[in-house]
Amino acid sequence: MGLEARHLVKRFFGTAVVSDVSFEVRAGEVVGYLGPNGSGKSTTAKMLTGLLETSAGAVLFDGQDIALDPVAFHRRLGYVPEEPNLYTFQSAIEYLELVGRLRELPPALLTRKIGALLELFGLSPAANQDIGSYSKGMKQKVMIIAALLHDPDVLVLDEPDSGLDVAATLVLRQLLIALARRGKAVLYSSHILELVEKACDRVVVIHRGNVVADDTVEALQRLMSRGSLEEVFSQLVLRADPERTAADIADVVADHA
Amino acid sequence: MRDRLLIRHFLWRFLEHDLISPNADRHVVLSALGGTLVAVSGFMAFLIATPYVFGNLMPPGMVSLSSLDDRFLFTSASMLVMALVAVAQWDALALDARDTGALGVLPIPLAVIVRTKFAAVALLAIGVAVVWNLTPTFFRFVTVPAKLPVSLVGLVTLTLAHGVVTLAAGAFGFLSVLGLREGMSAIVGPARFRRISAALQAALLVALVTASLLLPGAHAGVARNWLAQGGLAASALPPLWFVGLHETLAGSVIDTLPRTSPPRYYVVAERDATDLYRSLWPRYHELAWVAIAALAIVGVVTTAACMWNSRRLPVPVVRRAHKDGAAGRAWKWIVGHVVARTSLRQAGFFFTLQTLSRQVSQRVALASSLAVGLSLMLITARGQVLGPGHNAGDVTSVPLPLLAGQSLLLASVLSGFRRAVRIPAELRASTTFSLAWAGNLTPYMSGVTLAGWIALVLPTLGGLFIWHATVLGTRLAAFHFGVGLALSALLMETLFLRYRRVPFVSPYIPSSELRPHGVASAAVLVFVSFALAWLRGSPQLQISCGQRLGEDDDLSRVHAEVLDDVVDGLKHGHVVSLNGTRGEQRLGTELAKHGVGLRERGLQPREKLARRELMPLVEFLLTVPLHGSVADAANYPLAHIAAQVQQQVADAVRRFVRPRPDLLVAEMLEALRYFRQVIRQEEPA
Repeated sequence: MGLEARHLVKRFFGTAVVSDVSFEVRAGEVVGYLGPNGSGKSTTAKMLTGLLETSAGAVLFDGQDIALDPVAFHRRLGYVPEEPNLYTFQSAIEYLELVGRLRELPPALLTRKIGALLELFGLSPAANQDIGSYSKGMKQKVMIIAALLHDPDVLVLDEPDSGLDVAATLVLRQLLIALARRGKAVLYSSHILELVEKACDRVVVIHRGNVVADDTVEALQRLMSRGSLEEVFSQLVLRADPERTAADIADVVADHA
Repeated sequence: MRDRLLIRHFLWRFLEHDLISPNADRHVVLSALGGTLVAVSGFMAFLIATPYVFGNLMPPGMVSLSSLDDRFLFTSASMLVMALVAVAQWDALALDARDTGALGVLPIPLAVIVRTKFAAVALLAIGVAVVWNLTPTFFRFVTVPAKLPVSLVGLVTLTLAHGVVTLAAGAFGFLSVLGLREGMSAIVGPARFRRISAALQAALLVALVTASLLLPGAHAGVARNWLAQGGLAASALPPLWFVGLHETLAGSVIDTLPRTSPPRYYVVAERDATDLYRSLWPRYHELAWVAIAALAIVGVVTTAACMWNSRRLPVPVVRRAHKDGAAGRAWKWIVGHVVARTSLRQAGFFFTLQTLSRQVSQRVALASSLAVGLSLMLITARGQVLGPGHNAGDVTSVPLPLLAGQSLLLASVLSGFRRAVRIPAELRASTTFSLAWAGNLTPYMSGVTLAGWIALVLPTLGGLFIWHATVLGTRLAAFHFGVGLALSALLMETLFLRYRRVPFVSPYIPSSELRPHGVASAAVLVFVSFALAWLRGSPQLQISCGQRLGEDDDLSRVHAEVLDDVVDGLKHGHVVSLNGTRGEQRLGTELAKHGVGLRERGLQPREKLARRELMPLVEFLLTVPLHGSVADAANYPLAHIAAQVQQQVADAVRRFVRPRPDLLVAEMLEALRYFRQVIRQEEPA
């Protein structure tokens, strides 16, 4: 059981944002999905969740094309998008109740789960406030809770740690590991390489719409002869020397003439 | 340079409106809105100008008097449109927390931000006022009848006066709303104002839209109905202040024109019109001063309130957490166990209630529909509430419009609900539904309609029940309430019968165009209401015949009033009968028949339809040679043949004395009701 991207291609106005992406996320596995800004990570995530139609290729879940029965797939999917777009006029409780009811969870179970998860994520004091007044991290926590409410079999997390505080980030890392141990397939896209290194069983690196690496962290480190995932990532996708680029930026900033 | 950039920034912010697609091209939006304003105001100006340009000759006194109605319409329209613009831009009229976030971190003094913000607001108001009033102002050149010898200076005076007065009226409307908003905010503070702001905006919207819709039918007879009667109502109606200002500025241009010979059948009306118009001169001056003072006061108060509220940049106001109390928990329990028992139904139910009560777009849609419904009720009822002749316990004695009003209001409110449902609650958050949607629309939809029914239909029917209980009695009101419940259920099912979209989620106008439906509906509504008002009668008709015949639509009663007036004329010397004995005998006979005719009219709709065409002709083709008396005998020597006058009167009255086409159906329905009454009365016998 797992989620498979098979030769995914996405073009916008003729320009390929994702050229040919193939990888698999198996049950019980946390796969890290890395790439620089604009490399096509979020586009791939949207195609994997069925929110974005593919230009070519297919997304398979348990060997079935998700386009054949998207509703059935969504019943087993949990997705945390890159941007926490929530109904800002609702409170966290109201939003989570809406999601739970749409997923047809039993009312008593829903109430119990919402209360417990809000408590565990530290949102209880603000649970009745409008989401519009939440910080980005708080909104992100609401999104994570919404993605977990129905106990999904597959989780796609697109930079879920964006805006989270240190404590919440550490909890998230352990949570991903715990969920994988319970048989969930987890795709985790992030820019925090340390977190990916510690939480993920395997890493897929994408650059300019193409997969440039797909292996375990250890194998990549061995292959690239680097001591950390950060160094591996730098070698794979960074074309310019970061130090040199930083110095250039500082020069431009200091230009007053 | 910095000021210009900031002003441009604030001006573009006015287009970031809930009713405008965020993907829309701003220039397209601007063009569409400007075009709509110009088209509607141009249409109105054209309708007003038509009788003057294409109608028969109107003498100066009648023109002056009928112009009062036109000025009232133009000043009211300008005032209402500008007030509506201010209400539509409600939250954008002042600096908000977003401005603090974007501009507060920049090294720009607060005074500059405040100054540029209010400069942008002023530019918005001036822009809309000019666009709205431009076409009618230029039309002023041609609204003076071609045969009146008005000089070029006179025409320029009239045009300038029109422009100044309508712009002043618009400024008053805009400043009143802005002043109310800022004044309330200054008095209660930003946090409390945020709580009442939405309700205040919705209430203003309902009131202004209702007034706008009623305006086309309510502007006739300004001189007689308002100015001549005096009293508090005449002094307290802001459009009249500006009518007074216009007459003070330019009223003498037409009034001082020399009186030449008008057609005979206008003589009396012209003399009366001139007398009435001139008798109101002190009133015009008084109202003009009130207009100037009111505009100044509103301007000063609004400026002061704006300055007070802009002492510092606004900070985000967090709504207080609304934790469920015992009542809230009980409500949820009732909904979960009685009203909506399945999860999807509950999802639809609660999400609908939350969206309707908290989202501006949905509130605007509902407030507009409520306003339309109220207007329809008032237009239909035309003041027919229960009077002495009505029996509170008998449904057959209740005027039909009173009963029909409930259906009209319900239909309008439910149409507004359907419109609100089509607007996404928050477009970006719609992925929530994309991911969690179970694919089963029916139970979710059922929850949505149930929420609409509880949140909109029940309060509407409840309000009407209180009113009906007062005028009809509790038993009849309860019956009516039951009918309303059944009708609303039927309407709700009908409106959503083929609705296959997820409410509050999809669809969104995918193109970059302005959302067309709202603008188109508003335009159609204005056109229709004006067209209906136009059918009711042109200014010429109002003066030449309307005042003589009254405003009644019932043919038989109109007929009777024609005769009454003619008889009055015979008795009081307005009309001189050359063979008075035969004429009076004939008219006396007719008068004696009135009672019978009135009683029988309901049972003979066909006959009445035929009489619609024939009766005035028959009446005035009798051999009663009449000629009109004169306002000034020196100007109008008695040189015409009386029979020719009689023929002209007959032709004129034939043209005007008839029921409106839309009333034929209503009359037939009423006839059926009378028929039922007669049958009931005959049953015991």
